Amino acid sequence: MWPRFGIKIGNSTLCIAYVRADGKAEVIANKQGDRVSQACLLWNGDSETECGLTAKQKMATRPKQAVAHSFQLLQSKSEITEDKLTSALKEVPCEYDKESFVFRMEHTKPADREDQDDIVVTKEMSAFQVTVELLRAELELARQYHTASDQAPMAVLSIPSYYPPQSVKLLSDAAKDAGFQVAQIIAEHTAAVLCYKIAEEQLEQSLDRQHVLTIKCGGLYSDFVLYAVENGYLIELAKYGPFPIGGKQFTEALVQFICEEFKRKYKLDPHESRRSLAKIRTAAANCKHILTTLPSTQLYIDSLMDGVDFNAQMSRARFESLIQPVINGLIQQLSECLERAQQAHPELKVIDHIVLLGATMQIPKLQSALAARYPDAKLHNSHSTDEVVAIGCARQAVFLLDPLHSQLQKADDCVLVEDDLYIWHGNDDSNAKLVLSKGSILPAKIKVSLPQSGQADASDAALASFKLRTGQSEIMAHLPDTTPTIDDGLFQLEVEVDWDDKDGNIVPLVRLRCM
Amino acid sequence: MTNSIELECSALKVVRHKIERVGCAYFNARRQIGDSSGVERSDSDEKLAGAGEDVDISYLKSLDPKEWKDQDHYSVLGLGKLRYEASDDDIRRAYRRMVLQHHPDKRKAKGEEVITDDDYFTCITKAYEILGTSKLRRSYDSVDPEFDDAFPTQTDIDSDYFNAFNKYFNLNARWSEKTSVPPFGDVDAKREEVERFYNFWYDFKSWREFSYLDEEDKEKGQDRDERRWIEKENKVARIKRKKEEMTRIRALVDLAYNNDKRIQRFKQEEKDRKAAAKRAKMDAAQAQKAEQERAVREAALVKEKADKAEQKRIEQIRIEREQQKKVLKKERKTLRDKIKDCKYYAKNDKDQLKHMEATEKICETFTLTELQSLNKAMESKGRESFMVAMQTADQKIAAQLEELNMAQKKQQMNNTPKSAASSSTIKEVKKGELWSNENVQLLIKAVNLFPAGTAQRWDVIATFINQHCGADCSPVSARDVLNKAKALQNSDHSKSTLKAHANDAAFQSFERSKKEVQTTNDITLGDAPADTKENVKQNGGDHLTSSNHHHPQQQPLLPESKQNGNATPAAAAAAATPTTPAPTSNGVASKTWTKEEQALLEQAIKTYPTTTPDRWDCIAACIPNRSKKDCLRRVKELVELVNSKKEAQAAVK
Repeated sequence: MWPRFGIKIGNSTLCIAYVRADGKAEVIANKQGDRVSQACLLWNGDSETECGLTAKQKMATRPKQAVAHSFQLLQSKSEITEDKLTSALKEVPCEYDKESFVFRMEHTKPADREDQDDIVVTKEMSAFQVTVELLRAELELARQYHTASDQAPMAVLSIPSYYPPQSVKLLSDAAKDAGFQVAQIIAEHTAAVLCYKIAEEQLEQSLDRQHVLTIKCGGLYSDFVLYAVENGYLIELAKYGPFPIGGKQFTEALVQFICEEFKRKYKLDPHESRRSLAKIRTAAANCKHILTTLPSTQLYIDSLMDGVDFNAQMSRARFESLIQPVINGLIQQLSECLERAQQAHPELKVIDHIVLLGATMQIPKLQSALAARYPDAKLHNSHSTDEVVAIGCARQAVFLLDPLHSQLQKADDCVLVEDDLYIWHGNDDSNAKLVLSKGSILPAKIKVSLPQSGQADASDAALASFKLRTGQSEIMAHLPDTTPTIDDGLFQLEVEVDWDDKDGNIVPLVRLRCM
Repeated sequence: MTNSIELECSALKVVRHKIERVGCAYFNARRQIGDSSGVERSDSDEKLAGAGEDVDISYLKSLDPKEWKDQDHYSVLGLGKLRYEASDDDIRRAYRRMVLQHHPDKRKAKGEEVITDDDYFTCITKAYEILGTSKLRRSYDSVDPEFDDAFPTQTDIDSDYFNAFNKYFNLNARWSEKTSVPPFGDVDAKREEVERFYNFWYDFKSWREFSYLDEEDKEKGQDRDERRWIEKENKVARIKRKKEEMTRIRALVDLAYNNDKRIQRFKQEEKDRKAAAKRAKMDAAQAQKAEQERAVREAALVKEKADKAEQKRIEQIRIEREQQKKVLKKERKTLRDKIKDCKYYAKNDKDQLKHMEATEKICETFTLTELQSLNKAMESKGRESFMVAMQTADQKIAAQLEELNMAQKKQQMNNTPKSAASSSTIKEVKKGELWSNENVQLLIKAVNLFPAGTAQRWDVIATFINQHCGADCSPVSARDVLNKAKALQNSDHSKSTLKAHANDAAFQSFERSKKEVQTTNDITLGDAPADTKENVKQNGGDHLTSSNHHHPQQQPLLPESKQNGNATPAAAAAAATPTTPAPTSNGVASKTWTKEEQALLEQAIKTYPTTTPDRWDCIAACIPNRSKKDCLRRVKELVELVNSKKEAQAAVK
C-alpha cells in the first residue's frame, strides 16, 4: 500500500510525488533529472512513442508528429465546443480531426527511389490515449519506489478546477489504463491548499473561519478559486476561470521583444520564418525559466535567421518590464473576480492566505505584485509552484479511508454543527460531557457514559432526565422509561444526532437512548 | 431493555456546506460516520466497546504482585480466551477497562480497603506493560503457559492421523515468521500441496524466543561487567532453548512425515512411474531398432531389384544391338552377294565399278529395314530396285554432305569474329582456299611425319604446312590443322571429295594403263614416240601403274586415310601431270620415285660414301631407269625435306 503517489497532470507539464506512511511527500525526479516532466508526446513514425523532454525538443523539428497541450481536450465529446476547440488547437502542433476527436500525426517517409512520391503514414490518437501514454511514463518513475509487483501503485490525481465531472471520470480511466490504482481525484487548487496544511494549522490553533485564495497560472490558462477553511474542512466558495493568461503569454511578450530587437539590429523579420519563431520561442521559454531564479542571463540564439546569430544580455528587470502588461492583466482579472466573490459572499472580508500554484507563478515579479496587492494575506510560496499540486495530492493520499475504492466526486454535501453540544444528567452540569464538537458532520451517533448527578435519589422523573446544552440554550430530555439501568453510577447513553429537511430549513434531531 | 426519546433541537445551530473531500478533519469525521456502532465518548474519550470479558475479582485478589513473572497476563487483563489472537487495540481497551474498574482510587471511592504497597492492581499494570509492548508481548507469547508442546501419541496417529496432526500443526503454525502457512490437507491432497507443506515445515522459521524465561534481568546487574555476564548467561540459555524448540518442531514434522500415508503413496507412485517410464523407453528403443533393421533390409532389397533390372535392361539392349548388327551384316552380305551374283547388274565394266561402289554406298547408308526391303525388292525386281536404291543412296550421301558442309560453314561463320562483315567474308574465302589439295596432301604428309606423341604435334604440323605451301597460301594455324585432320579422319571415304577426286584420278590412270597395254601390243616400248603429249601421259601412267600395281582394284575403297595419304599424292601428282607441261621425260620421271627405287637409292647412297669418285654415276647405275641427274635431284629433295622438318620442329620449339 505504501508508498502512495500524487500526480499532477496539466496541459504543459506533469509532476509526480510519493509519500510514505509518515506523511512526508517528495517529488520524484524523472530520468533527465527534472522534477517536472513535459506533457509532450512524439510519435517516431513507426511503432514507438516517446514522452517528456526529448519529445518536446524534437517537436520543434517534427511538429506534425507531436502532441502537446492535449490535456485540455480530455473531455467528453459533447463538452468540446467549437470555440473551445479552436482556441485549444492553436497550441497543438499536429493535426486534429474535429469529427472523430483524435489527433492525427503525420510522418513523411522519404521515398526509396527518386521517382516515387514520399510515403505519408498517419497515426491517430485520442486525447485519452495520449493521457494514458503520459501517465505511463509517470508510472515508470513511480516504479522506482513502488516495488510490490502484484499491486498497482495507489495514486491521487489532480484535475483543474474548471473541468467538468465527465473529464474526472475520463482521467480516472486513463490512469487506470496506465496502471495506477486511482484512489481519488481532487481539484488542483484543493491539493495546493492541502500542501500548505492550512486546514490542519487552523484545527491545531483552533482558529476561526479563514479564507484562502488560490491562484493558478499554468502554461496556458489561469484560474482562481476561493476557499473557506472551517473546522479543518475546506469549503469552496467560488471559482473563476479559466482566463487565457498563462506562461505562454509571458513567453510571447519576450518573443516579441526578441523579434523587434533582431529586426532593429539586422533588418530581418523573424516572423517570416516559422522555424526562426520556434527557435525564439524555445529560447524565450528557457530565458524565462532562468530569470525566475537568476538576476540576468545571456540570451543567445544560434543562426536565428539567414545564418545570423542573436545575442543579447537579458536582465530580470528588463524581463519584468516586458511582462508587466501581462501581470497587470492578471491582477486586474483577479481583482474583478474578488469583487464578484465579495458580492456573492458578504462574509468574505479579508483574505487570510494566498496559495500560488502553476509553473508561471514562479516568476518573482508576479509573486511580489500579488504580495503588494494583498498585503494582509499570507503568501504561500515556499514550495515550488509547479510541484505544489503533486505534493498536495500525495499528502491527500495519506488520509485516504478506503484507498481501494476510488472516489471521483470532489465535494461532499454535508450538514455541520456550528456549536458544541453538551449533555449531563439532572442538574449536574459540572459533569457535562461534550457530545458533538463544533464542526461535526451530521448525522452522528455517540455513546456516552454519564455519571449520576448528586441528587439521584430525588425522584424517578429526575432520575431519567437529562439536559442538553448548545450555545446559550438548554434543552430538557426525559426518557419515557423510568428505570434506566445504572451501572456503577454511570448512565450508558447513546446519542444520535440527525437532521431533517423541513421546507428547506434544516432541523436537527437528537435521539437519546439509554442502554 | 432500552428506552429512547427523540427531540427536535432547533437551538442547535447547523449549516450546510459543500466540503471538499480532502484533509485530515474530513476523513476523521467520515470515519466516525462510517462506524455504524457509533462513537463512544467517555472521560478519556476512549472507545472501550467489546474489550475483553469480566475478570473474577477473587482471581485478581489472589495474585501476588511479586510473582508477576509466573502470572498469566492475558487472564489478568480479561483476555484469557483471546490470548495471542488479541489485537493491540483489544489489549489497550481491556487495560482501560481494568483501570476504570480496579484502580485503587476508584475502589477507595467505593469505600474499599486498599493496601497501596501490595495491591493486585500492580499486576494489571505489569500485564499491560508486557502485553502492550510488542517486543515484550512476543517474548511472553513465546512461553505461553497454555501452549501445548506435546506430540500426538501413537494411538492418536493410528486412529485419526489427519485430525491429530492437523491440530498440532495448526497450534505450532502461530510461531511461523511467514504469515501464510500451507494447510496440512487430507488424504486426497495433491502431491504439490503435500510437498509444499513438508517443505515449509522442514524450513520452518520460528519467531519463538525465550527471553522471558531469563534467570536474571540484565538491568539488575550492578555494573557493566555483571550485566554483560548476565547477558551472556541468558544468551546461552536462550540458544539452548531455541535449539530444543527447533528439534521439537523437527521431531513433530518427522513424526508426521514418517506416518504420512500420502508420502508412502507418492513414493510408490513415483517408483511405479519410473519403472513404467523405463519400460516404455526400452520398448521404444527396441521398436526403433527393429524399425531401422527393417528399413535397411527393405532398402537393400529394393536396390538389388533395381540393379538386376538395370543389368537385365543393359544386357537386353546389348543383345538387341548385337542382333541388329548381326542382321545388318547379314543383310549387307546378302545384298553384296546378290549383287555380285547378278554381276552388279552391270551393263559394262564402267557400270560394274560404279555399281560396286554404289553397293558399298548402299550398304553403308541404308538402315536395316531399308536393306531388308531392298533385298526383298531385288529378288523380285532385280536391277530396277538396285538402281533406285543406288539413287537414294546417292541422294542420302549428297544430303549428308550438304548437311556437313552447311554445318562447317556455320561453324566458320561462327568462328569468324563479329568485327567486320567484309573481313569475315575475306576470311571465309581464305578458309575455303586454305585446304586446297596441295595443302591437304601436305597435311597428310605432316601427320605421317610427326606421329602421335610428338611434342606439340599440331603446332609442328601447322608450321610444316606453312613452310611448304607457297607464298600465296594463307598460313594455317594449329587449330585449323587439327580440325582438318579430324575431319579427314572422321569423314567417310565415300563422302570425301578429295577421295572421290583421287578415286577418279586412279580410275583414269587405270583406264589409261589398260589402253597402254592395248597399245603396247602394237608398239614396242623403245619405239615409243617420246614427243607426243599422250606418250608422256602414257609413260606417267605406266609409272603409275607400276606403283599402283601393289594395290588391287579395291584401292579406291581403302578406308584408312593413312593408306590414302600414301597413295593419293602419287595419284594426284599423276593426275596433275597432264595439266602441267613437262619439258622432259626426266622431269616427269623425277616426280615418280617408287618405294623400290627409293630403297635402291638409299642403299646406293650408303654403299657409295661421299668419298667415292664418280659417286653419283655409281648411284645412278644402281637404280634402273634413273639418271644421275634424277638421283641428285631426289637426294636434294630429300635433304630439303629433312631440313625443313627439322626447321619446323625447331620453329615450334
